[in-house]
Amino acid sequence: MKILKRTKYLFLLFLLILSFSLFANNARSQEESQEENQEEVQEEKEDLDQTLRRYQESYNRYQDAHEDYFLARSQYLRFETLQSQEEAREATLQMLQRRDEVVINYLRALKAKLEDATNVNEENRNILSLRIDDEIEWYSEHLDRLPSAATLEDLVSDSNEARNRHRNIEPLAYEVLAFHSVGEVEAQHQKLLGLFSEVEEKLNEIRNEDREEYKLSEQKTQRIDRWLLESENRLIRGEGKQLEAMDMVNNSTNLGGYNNVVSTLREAIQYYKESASFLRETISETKKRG
Amino acid sequence: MGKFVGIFNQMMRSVLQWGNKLIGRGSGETKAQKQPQTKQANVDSRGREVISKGEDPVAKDVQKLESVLQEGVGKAKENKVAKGVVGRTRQIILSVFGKLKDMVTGTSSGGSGTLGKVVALLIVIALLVILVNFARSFYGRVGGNGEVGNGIFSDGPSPTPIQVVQTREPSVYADDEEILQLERNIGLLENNMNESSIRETRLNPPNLDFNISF
Repeated sequence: MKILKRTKYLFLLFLLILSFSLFANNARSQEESQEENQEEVQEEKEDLDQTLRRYQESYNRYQDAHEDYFLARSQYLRFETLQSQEEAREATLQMLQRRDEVVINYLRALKAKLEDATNVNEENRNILSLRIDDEIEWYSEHLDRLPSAATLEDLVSDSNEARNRHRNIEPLAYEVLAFHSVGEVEAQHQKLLGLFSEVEEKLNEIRNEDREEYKLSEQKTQRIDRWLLESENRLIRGEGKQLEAMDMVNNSTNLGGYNNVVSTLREAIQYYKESASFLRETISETKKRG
Repeated sequence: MGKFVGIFNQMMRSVLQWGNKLIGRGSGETKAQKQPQTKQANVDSRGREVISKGEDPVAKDVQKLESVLQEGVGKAKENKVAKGVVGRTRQIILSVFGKLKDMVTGTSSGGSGTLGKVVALLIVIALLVILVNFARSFYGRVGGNGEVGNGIFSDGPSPTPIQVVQTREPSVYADDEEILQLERNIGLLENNMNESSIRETRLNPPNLDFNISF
């Protein structure tokens, strides 16, 4: 009898330990997945920061190489000796390699920025991403070919090739930046739209309230409706400006075009800010008596 | 009060007329009517022009001023203080005018006629400026209703408009959790919009030298 009781207690204890360990495992796995998500986000951010850092470092190396190239070139043009020619060739090669690295790292940073952007149409994102990959591939091949140049003339020819190809970079860059800016504003627009709907829903709920002490006077209701209308009008104007900016994105192939997109988006944001402030007034009015 | 204003106006008119004559402006004569001077001016031993007493406009004005001042002295005879002040003022004004007259006519030892005229003109302008400022500050002190104010250029601080915040009682929804949450979310969104940057400044295309030549 005693043995049976003891066995029963042991069995219960065993069940408790088992259930506890199962529960702990569950909690741990949830935490782990959350941590993984956070790590992913952190990784993405680090990727963007990392690529930006790498781009900046490569640009600094290019500037040093360019100074050496300039000095070697001046000496060669002055003395025109074989030694100065060889030194000029080496300095030019070094500079061209650093230049190609700058372009490649810049394109990688641009791609990271594009992947980080929110509210960008997937189709546009993919097209831009492919174009960036294409350019990275070209410049990588060009970088690999450079050491095979035997003379200064070959290096000049290779440089001119890169110069012609570089004409594709600026339009691509400003298009990516413009899409990124549009995405930022769209994110704000979505949040504002969500809040507007919630406020409207809440106010409708209050209007339909049956309890006497929770009803609002007609005067108050009119005031609230006026604020809400103002908010909606600003929201609509902001949306108009945003659409205008999105139409400009395809023409933002240079700095001027990009500046136009940014200034139009700023106007849209201004309207959204005003809309938010009118929403705040609506809430504030609801909180006050009379 | 009216009489003193009248006397003051008369004085001003005389000063202005005298000033005009000093700078050679005639009293209402047109150019066409101006006759060339046929009479030869009197000249003293040093070759300076001497104006006879009968023609001297400055002397005439001094006489006029004396008569006006005597009138003032007569009025103030009853008041010893006023008599003393008016008498002293009369002496000062007469001496100034006398000196001016000497400078203009060149009878004093030191100056030439032209320089004297210029200096006299400057003194007249200075007196006018002082009088105008005095009149401005005097009229500035008296407000539209005749009340004495602080003048146009008032010293001291001006009142700052304080916005009176009208507080209203809270409604039943002041503590509603949903309302408060909405308010917080709107605040967060506004902060987000203020802080976010639309323009990306770190990824402008790099400035590279593609013009390589030897």
